Amino acid sequence: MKKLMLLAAVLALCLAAARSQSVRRSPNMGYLYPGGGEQGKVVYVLVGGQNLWNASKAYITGEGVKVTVVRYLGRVRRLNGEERKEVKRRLDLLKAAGADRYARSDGADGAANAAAKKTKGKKGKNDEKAEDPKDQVKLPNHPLLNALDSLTPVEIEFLENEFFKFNRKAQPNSQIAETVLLKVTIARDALPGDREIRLQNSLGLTNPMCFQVGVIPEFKEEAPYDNSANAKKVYSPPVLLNGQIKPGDIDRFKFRAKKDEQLVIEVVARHLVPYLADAVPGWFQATVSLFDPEGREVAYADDFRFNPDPVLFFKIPETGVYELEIRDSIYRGREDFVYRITIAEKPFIKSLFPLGGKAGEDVIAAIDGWNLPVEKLTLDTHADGSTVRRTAINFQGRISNCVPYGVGELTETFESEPNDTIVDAPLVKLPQVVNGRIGVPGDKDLFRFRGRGGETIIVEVFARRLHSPLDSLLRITDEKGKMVAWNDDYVSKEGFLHKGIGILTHYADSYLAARLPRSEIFTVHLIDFRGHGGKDHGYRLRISRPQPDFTLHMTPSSITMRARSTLPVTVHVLRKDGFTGAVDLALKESLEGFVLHGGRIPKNQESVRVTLTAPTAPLEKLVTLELVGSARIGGKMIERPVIPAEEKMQAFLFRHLVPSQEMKIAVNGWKNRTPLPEIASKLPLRIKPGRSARIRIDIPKRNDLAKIFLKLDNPPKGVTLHDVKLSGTKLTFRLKADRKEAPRGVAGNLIVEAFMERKPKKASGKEKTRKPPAKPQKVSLGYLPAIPFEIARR
Amino acid sequence: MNGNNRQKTITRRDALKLGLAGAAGLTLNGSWPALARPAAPKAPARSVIQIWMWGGPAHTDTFDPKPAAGYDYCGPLRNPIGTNVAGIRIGELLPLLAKQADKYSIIRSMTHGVNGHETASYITQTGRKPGRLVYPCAGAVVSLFKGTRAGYKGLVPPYVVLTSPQGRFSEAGFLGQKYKPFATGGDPNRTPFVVEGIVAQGITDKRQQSRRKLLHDLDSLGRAMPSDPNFKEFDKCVEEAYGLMFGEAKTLFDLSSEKKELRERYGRNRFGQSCLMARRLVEKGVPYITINYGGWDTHKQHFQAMQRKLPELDKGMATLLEDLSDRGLLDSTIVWWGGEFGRSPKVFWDPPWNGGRSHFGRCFSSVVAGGGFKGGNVVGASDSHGEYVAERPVHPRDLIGSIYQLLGIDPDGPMPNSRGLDVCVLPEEEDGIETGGRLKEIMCT
Repeated sequence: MKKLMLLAAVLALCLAAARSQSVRRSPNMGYLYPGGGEQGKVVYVLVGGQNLWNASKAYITGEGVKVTVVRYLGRVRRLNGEERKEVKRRLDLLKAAGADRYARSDGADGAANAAAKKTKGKKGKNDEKAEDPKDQVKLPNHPLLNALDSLTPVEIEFLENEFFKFNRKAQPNSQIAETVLLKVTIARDALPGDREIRLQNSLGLTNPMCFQVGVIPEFKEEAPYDNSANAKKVYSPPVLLNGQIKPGDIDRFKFRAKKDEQLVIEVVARHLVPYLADAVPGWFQATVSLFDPEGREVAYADDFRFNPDPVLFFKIPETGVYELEIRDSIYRGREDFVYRITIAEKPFIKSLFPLGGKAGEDVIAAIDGWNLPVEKLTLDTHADGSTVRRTAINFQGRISNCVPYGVGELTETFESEPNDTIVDAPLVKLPQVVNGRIGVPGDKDLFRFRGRGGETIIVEVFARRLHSPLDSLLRITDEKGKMVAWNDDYVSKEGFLHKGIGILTHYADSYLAARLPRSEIFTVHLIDFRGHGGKDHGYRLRISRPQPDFTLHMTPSSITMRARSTLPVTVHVLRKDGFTGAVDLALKESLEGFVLHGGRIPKNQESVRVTLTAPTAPLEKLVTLELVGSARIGGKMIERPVIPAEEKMQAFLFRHLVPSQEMKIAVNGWKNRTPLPEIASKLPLRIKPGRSARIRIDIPKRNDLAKIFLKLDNPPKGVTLHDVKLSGTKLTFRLKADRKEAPRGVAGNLIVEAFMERKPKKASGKEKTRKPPAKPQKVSLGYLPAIPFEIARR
Repeated sequence: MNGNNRQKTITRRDALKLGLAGAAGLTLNGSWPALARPAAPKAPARSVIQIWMWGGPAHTDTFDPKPAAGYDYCGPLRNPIGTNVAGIRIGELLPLLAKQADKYSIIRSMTHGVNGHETASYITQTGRKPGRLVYPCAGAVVSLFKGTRAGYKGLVPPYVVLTSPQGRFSEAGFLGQKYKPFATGGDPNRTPFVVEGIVAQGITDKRQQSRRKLLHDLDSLGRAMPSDPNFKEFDKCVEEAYGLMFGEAKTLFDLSSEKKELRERYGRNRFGQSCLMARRLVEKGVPYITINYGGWDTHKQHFQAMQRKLPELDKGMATLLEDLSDRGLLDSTIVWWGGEFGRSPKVFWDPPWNGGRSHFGRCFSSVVAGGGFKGGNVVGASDSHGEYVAERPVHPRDLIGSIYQLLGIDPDGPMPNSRGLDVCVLPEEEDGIETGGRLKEIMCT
């Protein structure tokens, strides 16, 4: 046992040493294929990603779905001629014994195993030669090839497709080059909708990826490596087709349709993998074309309004076999271009009105769309603090698309026509939310309000964020018709980081804060910028004095820590209506043993890096972490949840906060009851420009720690660390703010990583003469608790 | 985004047409006003070799290393090397250029703040911000002032690109087609160097001559109206184009006449041999040569690319400087090295980048040598991490203006053009363009 512990300690040290010299590697998933499965079925899912070796555990959010790792499949290898022959020979043996039969079924664990057992003692056509061990071809070391005789049917299919069919158009993409096979078991009563899957290996927990649970029969594309676009199988709707667009790929599917069927053909692609960092456009931009039995293109879509995932609505004119084609709009393709296409007479809500209501009030919305079994929908408005919610129709097992709606605290009213002119514009009592529509092309909606000179008035449109096609343009004019303020689009950004609206990139909603020049009646003018209109062009228009508020996001949403270790995470605040105050962060429920340091977003700051310290013992299960932020606004304490999110890059530049369903933490390692370092200095540390401030931290005593090295992790410009001294348990250092470079007035937390120096093993014998003595290596000891600081203005 | 700037392949037939059109452009007289100001008689520079680092080279891995910034900034390239100029250190993968540092000056404080390829390419090569009017790049401007209108009678057009056009913006801008560069195509590292419209692979001179005869025989309209001035002019252009194909120009592009050892020193690759070709063009008096050197847009696995590309750059550029110097050409030839921007000093280690650098227009480096630029100097400085300009900002306008000045082109003078536009060679400060002033500290005049 002692030996084992020693080995573990050495291993940990080696890992830490590796960390110190090279880059921190973390496991990362790029796609799941298929991106979902049907209730009551077992689905084998391929995960593409990086640093996934020996992934052993998998997790999925929600109830009713189980996920396990079947095998780490590694990277695709190119085989030489002899190796190819050998692999083929052994696969033929498996198939001959019946494995192929299993391959066509849903597949089951051990199917190939069983087949392999059956093949024992049987000879294949070409295996005379292989009987002699001398003649056996040695295959490369690879997880799939090492287990050739015990592969599952899905693995056989993968091996045949990936190792034998070389795609000349494929480009190397390390971030999705490794593959893991998962088995997902979906209960019959598992709730349909989006789930999130995470994997775990020795490096930690991966990012979450979307996996959908569906209700209609699902199939995978038959020949994923066939770019010839020849569909063979004829499907019968309702059906959900899963596929991948590989480089240069165009996929076609045949399906039988009856006259007068009102088919909704809905593609889910960008929804599954919202952003690609290394591609332009920054997602798989799917297009779908529908061909009639004569081969004529009868419908085409490359989006649904502003949503990149296309939806086709098509009433079948004649019974027959139709063909659907899907491809990337500019003929790109790679493994993470994963899609799901529903072909069904499913209900599809195109619009609802009103687009929301006041919290706690009964709101019934009129809905419009295809195949809708009802005309109205009751919106859940119970007061829980959330401002955007989603609803769908579930009618006799037929589930519609999900649509968002808004819930607010202000008084609500409805727009009524005519209100196209100032004379007709109603006088709105502030604060007010108006539910309206730009009902026809060219429609103008005007509202008047009584304003006081010097006060600030907020006018905000909620439309695109609620999936309305309205592209709003707002203006405020005074009594003489002179423009006081206007706004077309509003986006909340911090550099290239878009903080507002998750995966929506059409910032079409208008927002303006206008300081009124005098007391009089002002007019708000709302139009569609492009002159479009219709009953689906709904909006919620807020006219009010500022309602300061905030939303919070925390990245990343998957964290792996060793017991008693400390890690930094980032919390972003989206400030609304001029809110500038500080926000205090806290763990929502007392998660035993977790400690948050630096839990305050200072006044006027856009984000803060806090540190989280893990409990003293590893945890068997993942922990769901919930944080809340609170701030005093107008004498009232306002509390908002911290939404877990992943920071994703779009097309080389823009970054987005994509919300995750949960924030998950894995705590591994071994028990460690070492006391936490404690900051003994007064906080926040105030540093004057051009000066430095000394800080003292009490750290636990370590006999092996003669010297300690500290490094600032992503400090503000101009802030540097000096004069590190360690005396017993007292660690002191100075933090300096450069007079010119350090941004004055900036506050937040400084994150410091500690290192120790490790002398390399002494060289002996020949090595001694051959090699120069190796340099000492710095080994990471982990992070210190976040140090709140402030750079003085003078 | 890695890789070369691929253009539509030009067929031999297209090339011949282009050659003819180009030759026509050289000879046909337009109705332009005469050059307002003749070139200054004592201009030190006669030619420019622009090494265009398409994609944006990493300044911190080449001419502005920051070893103290740590691994997150330097990656494995954290041991810069000294040069033959005391106090100047450059990237460790440029040992040959380190020995030539006395010949060039490094500008470590280039800035324009733009991170998009197209816009940044336009700014760095025109000195202007994009607007409604598309201005010509430096090559086209030099072609205007130093080309045929200024008496240039060279074998090949005055603005040559080795080998493929840049493609990111219209090089000639409002000056029009006539001032577009002549892109050689082909690969100078191959024998023969197949130059579009001049050297054809697999077609003998005899066969080419017979084709010409056939074309002439088919030209019944031209024969019917021999005195028509338009046909006369056209015939003249054709003669000149064939002159390019069968005359001295063909020899000019024949690199096999160079010593094998010299070719090896330049590097037996497309870039190295392009450098050698550029020197040959300079010898023939071509005023502006761009070596369009792609592959620097290293978003992913940057350091692997640097291990591959930097030795190639080192060999080619160092030998070019040395060769020009040995032949006494460096004093009259400006060598301008740079891309549209630098690359982010901080390395992106996470997937999908796996050790990549992104675009970085806020602070980057350029290098100038010869033609009146002093060597062995560093202009400006970046901050400790190479992320901000710390001293003496240099904007593209300042650099281009300095090059023009050394060529005897008045940067503040008018730019003649067929459209009658009242425009200056470079924008004025009053136009709202940022400037740190011309590079007087490294200019001989």
